Amino acid sequence: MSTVEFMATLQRRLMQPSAPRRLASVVGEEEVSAFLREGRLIVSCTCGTEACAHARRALAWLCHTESPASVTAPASADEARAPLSIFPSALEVDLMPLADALDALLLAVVRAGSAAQTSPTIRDAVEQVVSKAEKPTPLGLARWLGRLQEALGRGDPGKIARVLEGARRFSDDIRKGAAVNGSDATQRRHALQRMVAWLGASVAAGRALEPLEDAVLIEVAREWLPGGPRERIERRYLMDLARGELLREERARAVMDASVGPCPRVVQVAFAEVESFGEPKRVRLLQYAVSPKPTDQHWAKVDRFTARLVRQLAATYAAAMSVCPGLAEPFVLFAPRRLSLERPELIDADGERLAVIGDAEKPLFETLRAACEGGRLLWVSGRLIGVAGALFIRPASALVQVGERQRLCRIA
Amino acid sequence: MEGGGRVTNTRELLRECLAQGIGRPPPAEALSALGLSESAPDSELAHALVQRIANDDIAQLCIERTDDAVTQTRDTAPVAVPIEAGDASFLGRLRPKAAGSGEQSVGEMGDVTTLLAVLRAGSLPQRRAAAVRLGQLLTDGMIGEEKNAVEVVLDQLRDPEIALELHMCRALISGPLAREAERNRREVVALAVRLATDIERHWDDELQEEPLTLLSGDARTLLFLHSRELDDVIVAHVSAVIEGDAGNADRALRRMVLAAIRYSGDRRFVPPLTALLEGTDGELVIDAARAISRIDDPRVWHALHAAYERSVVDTERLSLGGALGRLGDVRAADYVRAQLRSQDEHVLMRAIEALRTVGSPEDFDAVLQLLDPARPLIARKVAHTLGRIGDARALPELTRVSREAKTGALRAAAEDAAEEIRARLVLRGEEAPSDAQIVLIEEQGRASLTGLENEPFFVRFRAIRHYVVGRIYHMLGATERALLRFEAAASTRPGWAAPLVVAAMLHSSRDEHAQALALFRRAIDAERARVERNPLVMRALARSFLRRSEQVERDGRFAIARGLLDEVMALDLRRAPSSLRFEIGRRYEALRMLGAR
Repeated sequence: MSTVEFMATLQRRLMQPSAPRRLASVVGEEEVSAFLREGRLIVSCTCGTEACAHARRALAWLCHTESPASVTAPASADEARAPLSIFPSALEVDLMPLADALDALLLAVVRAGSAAQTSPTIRDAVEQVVSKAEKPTPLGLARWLGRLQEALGRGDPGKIARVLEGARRFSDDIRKGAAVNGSDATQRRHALQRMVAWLGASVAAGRALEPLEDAVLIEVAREWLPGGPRERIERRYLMDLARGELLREERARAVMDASVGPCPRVVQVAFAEVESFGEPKRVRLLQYAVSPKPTDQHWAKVDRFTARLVRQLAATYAAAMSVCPGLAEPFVLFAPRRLSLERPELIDADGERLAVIGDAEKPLFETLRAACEGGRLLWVSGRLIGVAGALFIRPASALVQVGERQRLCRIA
Repeated sequence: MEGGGRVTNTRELLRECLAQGIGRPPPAEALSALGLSESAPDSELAHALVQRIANDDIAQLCIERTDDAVTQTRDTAPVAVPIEAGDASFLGRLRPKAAGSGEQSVGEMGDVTTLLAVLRAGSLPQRRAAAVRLGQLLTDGMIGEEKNAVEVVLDQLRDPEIALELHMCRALISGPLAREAERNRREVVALAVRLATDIERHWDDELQEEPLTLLSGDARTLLFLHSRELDDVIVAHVSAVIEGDAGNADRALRRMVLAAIRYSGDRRFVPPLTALLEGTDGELVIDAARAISRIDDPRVWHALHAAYERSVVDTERLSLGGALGRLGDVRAADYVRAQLRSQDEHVLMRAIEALRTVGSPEDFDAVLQLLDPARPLIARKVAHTLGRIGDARALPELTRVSREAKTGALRAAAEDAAEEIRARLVLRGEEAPSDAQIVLIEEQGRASLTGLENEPFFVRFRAIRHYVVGRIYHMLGATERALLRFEAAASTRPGWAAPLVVAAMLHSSRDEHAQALALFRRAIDAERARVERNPLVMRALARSFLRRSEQVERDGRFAIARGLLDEVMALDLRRAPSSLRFEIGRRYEALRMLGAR
C-alpha cells in the first residue's frame, strides 16, 4: 500500500464513533501523531520534516494493527463514565511506607510546635519521607516539602496546619485504599485529585490526563519555588487563550524535561497532555512551536480573563483549599484599579484591598512598584496565599503599559 | 457576641497548642474542644489538632479583613538588616538620591569638580548617579573650563560599570567624543537588530545555532553594556539561556552569557540571576553574584544575602561577600580578612577582590604586604584594591611600583589606583601628597625623546621619506608597496614606531592578525609609551591579539592562545575600548581555568 492509501485507511478508521481522538507512535527517537482536524487527517512528526520516513513507518504500522483503540490508552465515552478505581492493589502496597513516613513527619512537627521552626527530629522525618517516595521525587511531593519548610519558617500555625492537613488527607486516602473505591463519587474524585497532585497523573493509569490540541498558550509568568531538601522547582504559567484557563508546567532544577522558550512567549500547541485535576492544572507540552514575541492582540485576549474583584479571588482560593489544602496554589491574573501608595496592597474597583506578600528573599511589592514607574499597571499575576487568616497575593509578573507598548515584567 | 468570643478563644487556644507543640500535655479545654480524652494517643491528637485548625483557617479566610494580617505578617517575617560600613566622611554619607531634606546627594550636586571626583572614586551607585547628573548639567548647557574638565575625564575614563551613562554623557559633547559615541550607538543598534532577528529565526526553526554564539565576544560585551536599551525579546532570550530554558544546557555557553551581562545593570535579569544564586553550581553562583550586584533593584540585596548565608565554599562565599559589599553591606569583612592568609591562590585572589568593596583603611597593611611586582597578576589586583580602599599611605608604594614595574599593565594599575586615591582624598577633604610619579614619567619621556634627536639628520630624513612615500602608496591603494616602504622606514630608523604601527594597523584592517602581531610587538619594543598612549592603536592592537588568540584556540592550541592574551594583558590597555578589554580578560580567565584543570 502507498502512503496515500495508508492515510485514507487510517482516516476512515478514525472517523468511526468509537475510535480514539489521536494516535501516537514512537519511531526511533521521534513521535508521530495522527488525528482528525475538521474531518481531515493530520499526521505530524517531532522530526519536523513533512512526509518523513518515521511517519510512513508509523502509518504502515497503525493501519496494520487490528484495532487502533487497542494501541492507545484513551477510553471510550462509556468507559470514561465507569466508576474510578484509583488504588490498584500493587500501588496500595507500595504507598503504605510513604503514608507512614508522612504521618511520622506530621507528628514530629506537631510535637515540636510551629514556633520551633525546625528540629533534628523534623529533619530526620523529612529524610524518611524522601527515602520512601519513588525516585526522582515526584514534583508534587517535593513541592509539599518546600511548602512545609516555608510554613515552618513563617511560623504561622494556620498555614502549618493547612499544609499538614494536606498530608493527613493524602495518607488517609492511602490507608483507606480500596475502601475509597467503594465510597461516593465526590469522595472518589477528591481522592483521585489528591493522588494526582501528590504523585502525578501516572499513578491514575491514564484516567487523569486530557489531550490538548491546536491551542494557543501565552506564558504569563515564571518562578522558582522551594522543593524538597536542596531542591528547587521551576514553574511556568500558561494561559489558554481559547478557554481562559491557566495551566502550569514545571520541572525540577536538574531535569530538563519541560518545554523550551523564554518568558513571555507564545506557544502554538499541536499536542499536549493536561492533568484533569490541580490548581492550576499541570500541562506537558509534547508537540509545539514557540514564538518569543507576544503581540498586543495576544495581551488583549489575556486581559479578557483577568479577575477584577478581590471577592472573586477569595472564592477561588477557598474552593481550591477545600479539596487539597496541602498542595493547591491557586494562580490568578488580577487587574486592580490601582496600587496603594501607603501600604503593600492592590485595590479593586469596589475599594476592596488585596495585600501583597513577599518573603525574606524577595521584597515583591517594592519590585512591583518599581516596575510600574513611568507606566500603567494593567494586571498582576501571582499565587494566592492565606496567612494569619487573610488572603494575600504573591506577585510573579505584571503587565505594564509603557507609552504605546505593553511590557511583561517578571517580579518573582 | 459571647458565643463568638468563645469560638475565637477556642481557636486561639488550639493555635497556641500547635505553636507550643504537644510535647507537653495540652490543656484540658483544648482536648475537650477536639472531642478527645486525656488518654488519646499523640498521633490521634496531632491529626485532630491539624484538621481542626486547618478547617477553621480556611473557613475564616474568606471573611477576615487583611488590615491586621498585613501587620502580623510583617512582624513574623524574617527581617534582615544590611550591615553598613561606618564611613563618616563626606563620601561615606553622600547618597545617590536625596532620601530626606538636608541630605547631600549626587543627584542634586552642582559642583562639577566634585562630581568628577565622585565619578572616579565613588561607590557604584554614586558613580552612576554622578554620570547621570553630569548628563543633566551638559544638557542644561555647560560652558568654559568646566566643560573642558568634563571632556578630559570622559575621554580618559573607561569604567565598564557605568559605560552606558558615560556613553550618554559623551553623546552630549560635540567633537570627537560625540562622534565616537555616535559610532558606538550605530554599532549597538546594528548588533541589536541582527540579534533580535536571529532570535526570532532561531525560535522559528530557521536558524539552528544559538544566536548569541554568532556574535563575537567583544560585540556581545558591547551590546550588553547597553542592555537597558535593548528590546524585551533579546533580554527574555538571554534570561532563558541563563536559566537553562532555551534548549541548550551547555554550561560554557551560560558562563559566556553571564560574563557578557556582568556590567549590564539591567533589572530584567534579576529573576534568572536569582535562580542561579539559589543553585548549587559554584562557578555559576560566582558569575551571577558579579552580575546581579551591579543592578539597582530592591530584590538584589535579599537574594545575595540569602545566598551568602547558605554558601559554604570559600571562593563562592568570598564572591558573594564582595557582591554584598558593592551594595554597602560589609557583613563579610571579617571573613574576607581571614582568607587573606589562604595558601590557595584562587581563594587569595577572590579575597583581594572582595576587599575592594568590604575593606577599609585598617586593611591597608595586610593588603600592602601582597604588593609584590614579582607576582604581577596578584600585584595588579592588590593595586586596584588599594585604590578602592583609598588610603593615602599607599601612594608612595604605588609610585614605586609604577616606576619599577616591568609590565605596562601593572604600571597602569598602579597609576589608576594612585589617581583613585587622590580623587578619594579630595572627596574626603584631605590633602594629597606631591605628584612624584608624574615628574618621573615626564623625565623618562624627555630622555627617550633626547635619544631620538641625537640620530644623524640624514638617517631621519631617509626614514621619513620612506614613510611618506609609503603613506602615499597606501592612499592610492597600493598596499603591498606601502608595506615595503614602511618596513624600509623602520629598518632605517629602528627606534621609530610610527611606520611599524601604520603597517600593523594595515594588516589588522585586512584581518591578517598574525602579521599585525609581529609588527605591533616591534612597535612596542621601539616606543612602548607612545603606542600605549594612542587609543586608535591600542584598539587595533587589542583586537588583533584577541582575534589571533581566538584563531589559535579554534585550532586547539590553547597554551598559545593563553600566551597571547597573557602578553596583551601585560600592556597598558586603559585606552583600549572597554568591551575589548573585558573580553580579553574573560577569555584569559577561561583559558587559565582550562589550564588549571
